[in-house]
Amino acid sequence: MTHAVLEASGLTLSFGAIKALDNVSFRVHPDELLSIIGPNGAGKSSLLNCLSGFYRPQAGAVRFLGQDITRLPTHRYAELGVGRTFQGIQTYASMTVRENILCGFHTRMTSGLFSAFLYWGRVRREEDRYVREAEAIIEFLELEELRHASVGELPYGLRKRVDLGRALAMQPKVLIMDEPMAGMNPEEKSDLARYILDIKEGRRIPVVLVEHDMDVVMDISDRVMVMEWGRSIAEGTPEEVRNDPRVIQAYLGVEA
Amino acid sequence: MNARVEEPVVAEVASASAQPVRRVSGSHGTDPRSGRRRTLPQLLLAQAERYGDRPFLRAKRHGIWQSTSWKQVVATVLQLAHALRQRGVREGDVVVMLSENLPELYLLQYATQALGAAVTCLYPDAAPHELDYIVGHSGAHLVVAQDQEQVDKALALTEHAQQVRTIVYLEDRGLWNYDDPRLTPYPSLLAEGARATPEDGRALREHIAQASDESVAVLCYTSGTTGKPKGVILTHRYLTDNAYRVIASFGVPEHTVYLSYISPAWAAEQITGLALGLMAPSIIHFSEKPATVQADLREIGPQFLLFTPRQWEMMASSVAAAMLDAKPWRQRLVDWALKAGARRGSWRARIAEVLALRAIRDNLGLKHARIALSAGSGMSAEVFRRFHAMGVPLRNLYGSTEYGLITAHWGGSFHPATLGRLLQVDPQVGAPLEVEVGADEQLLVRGASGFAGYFRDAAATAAVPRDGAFATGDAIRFDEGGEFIFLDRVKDLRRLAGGRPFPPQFIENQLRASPYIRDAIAIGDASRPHVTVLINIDQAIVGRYAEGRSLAWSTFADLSQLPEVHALLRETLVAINEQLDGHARVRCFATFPKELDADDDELTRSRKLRRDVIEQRYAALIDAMYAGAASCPLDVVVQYRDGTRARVHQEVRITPIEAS
Repeated sequence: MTHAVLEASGLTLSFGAIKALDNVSFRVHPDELLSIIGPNGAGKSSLLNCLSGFYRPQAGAVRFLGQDITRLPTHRYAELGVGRTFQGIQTYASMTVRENILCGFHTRMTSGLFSAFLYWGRVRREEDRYVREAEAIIEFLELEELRHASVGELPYGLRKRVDLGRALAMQPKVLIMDEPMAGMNPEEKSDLARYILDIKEGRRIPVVLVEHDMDVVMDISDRVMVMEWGRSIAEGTPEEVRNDPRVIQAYLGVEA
Repeated sequence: MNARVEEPVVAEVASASAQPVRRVSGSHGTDPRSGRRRTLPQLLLAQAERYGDRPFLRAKRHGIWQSTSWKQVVATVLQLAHALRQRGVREGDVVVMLSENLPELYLLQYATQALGAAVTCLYPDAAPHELDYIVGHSGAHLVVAQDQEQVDKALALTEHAQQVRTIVYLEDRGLWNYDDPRLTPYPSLLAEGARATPEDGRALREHIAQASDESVAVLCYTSGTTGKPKGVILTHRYLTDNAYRVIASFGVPEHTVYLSYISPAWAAEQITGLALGLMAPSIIHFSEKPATVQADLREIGPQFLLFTPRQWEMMASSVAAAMLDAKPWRQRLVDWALKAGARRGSWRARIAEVLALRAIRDNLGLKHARIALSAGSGMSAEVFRRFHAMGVPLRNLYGSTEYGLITAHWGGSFHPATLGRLLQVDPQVGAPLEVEVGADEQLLVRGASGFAGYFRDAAATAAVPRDGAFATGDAIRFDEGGEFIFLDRVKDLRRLAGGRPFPPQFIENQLRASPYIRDAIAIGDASRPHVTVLINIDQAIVGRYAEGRSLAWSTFADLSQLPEVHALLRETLVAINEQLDGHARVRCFATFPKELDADDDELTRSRKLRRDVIEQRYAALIDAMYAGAASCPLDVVVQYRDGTRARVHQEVRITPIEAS
């Protein structure tokens, strides 16, 4: 099997007496879309937070491109290439679409505050380069007609797409998405699903997706991991998972 | 409502007594920019020698406008031509293209034509079975597809799937995991072409130099409403001659800023974009994508643009919609400015220009528009006048795919009801255009580069000419100044008792364009000596008109029979009659005493007239109109929504139109 991009082994996380994660292990391969599903409170968000450095697991390790990153400070995760989008909207409402995407480059910008005020030479060249890259993302996400629109005026689905654009600006090597489709109408969902696939296929960025909409998950995932009570109870292709008796039990309850 | 805009820049309309004009001759142009019987690739090479590093194509990439110079275009075209040759494209072949307007599409077209092959472009929304038919009919083995959507169509061919050996695509989104071996991305094709040796290059240039301008450049497949589509042959001579007609008649400036927007599947874009671009020459601009065209227009500020009437109407309504959100004083200012602007040259118009009109034009991207064309039929006079009031010199353009561009507004005439006059022809190509109205009211055209035939369809080609002329299938009338008025398709004309035809749809459409009229039905057939009209008024608007004049009325029946309302409608009919030959003019009209209603079976649910029901129900009224009566007593049964029926008795007024 190919080398894993992101790998979790034996992750365990407790909040007091509650075990949010209990010995969870999985791997994300290149060119792969892995979805994590499970009922509320199964530990999905805790897992994502461990993967992106917001929580520290009490046991186990997170490896990224072979390197153990479990103990690195949170901001290093992003710099290394672990991209992440959050639930809800995290854009700057008063800024334009392009400015929001440009914000995503901040981890890679080198100019300091003082030189940025002067805005010449290297600083200027750097800015030009990032504008070009931002435009490439705008084209990729088909936001051309909205590049100068302020994000606050856009409908939810489009704001989420801008959010995604900002995550892409960080040039992630893996993209972690936490319930991106929550609150969307079916059309917005299928739009976003299309762009997530484009990111995987066109930009070759593997995606880890937590999502409640089962139709979307089963449609676009290469592999699905099912969680319950902090443990991983099943893993496989959408077809395998759909027919797994443990999954049916977790979702539908035990038959009397 | 009653403030009807005057027509300031209008030619005099033929007086009623004149003999109808049946034949009009055009003239040769004097502009030196003739195609001189060269093919498009020959013109491209010659113009590139002359213009070198000046920009030819401009497109927005990554948010910035980027130019391609003449030199670069030639280099790329030769490279692509070599690659296409390697892929088996030969003289006489046809390459099918399915794409929006993109620079790559232009480059591939010139490259295909450089090999002596022809191009056929389909509308991007063409269905897979249409593509299948056209691939089969044209014998194409190479298809250019813009993106995943178009590639999917090319891969889904059924009957002629085996025939397609190469599919070149321009945008790779979504195609990353496709593995059909026929798929070739545009950059790979370009790379194949880069392997050409100097010897290949010389051979290609020689090949281009030897080509004849009578060879096929483009096939335009006409959407066949009956039967299969026919491939109209556009030769290089056709394209350069037609481009010359536009250049000479409008005086297109050199390096004119042109927006490529209408589909190249349409002969008009082949002429004003690909051919005229080489000859004028133009700087051809491409919108980033259809959704950004409004913003792009403003950035480009084109001097020359060609839209369909529908697109102009959408632009006009975008102004109206923007005004709804504006502050009241701004709304009043713009209303005033548009009224003042309608009288060009007046001092009011000059003030309006400074206060509002210039800003409106700037916002629409029409600040520099000198040649603004509306091609295709059915431009409403209302929208036409609105653009003129804004200071945009909108012009109608009329032609047929087979014969090319025939008339347009040029040389200072802008009557909204006409299609202008005959365009000037390239003296190096042939005689000036000459047209006449045949016995069946059909427009016959002679002269210029002419009609080259339908591709692989000798029978259909042979069926077209009449008396050595091209029969357009359009019923056209000329006014005294030789300006064209489009009446109907010939097949839609109806004949009166004397056997002379009249255009019912033309009359009805013109009537419906009035805000006071909801529906109208033109009566007249082989049993009637002349034309009469029944009108269903628009209660809300006519009601407001009556209120404004303190006229008393209580019911629809009252309102419809008011003498003042009839006087108002009569004015509209007089104006329509001025556009018609004597025998086809409307003699008298009456208004329905009740609204036409689908519940009474007079309309279909989609508001189409049910002529037979109406003519039967109002037979007494119609007979009275033909008997020359001044009124007719009428009992009409009305069915109310709750199912009850009532009889309405009304004396219905009949108003004659001919001035005494």
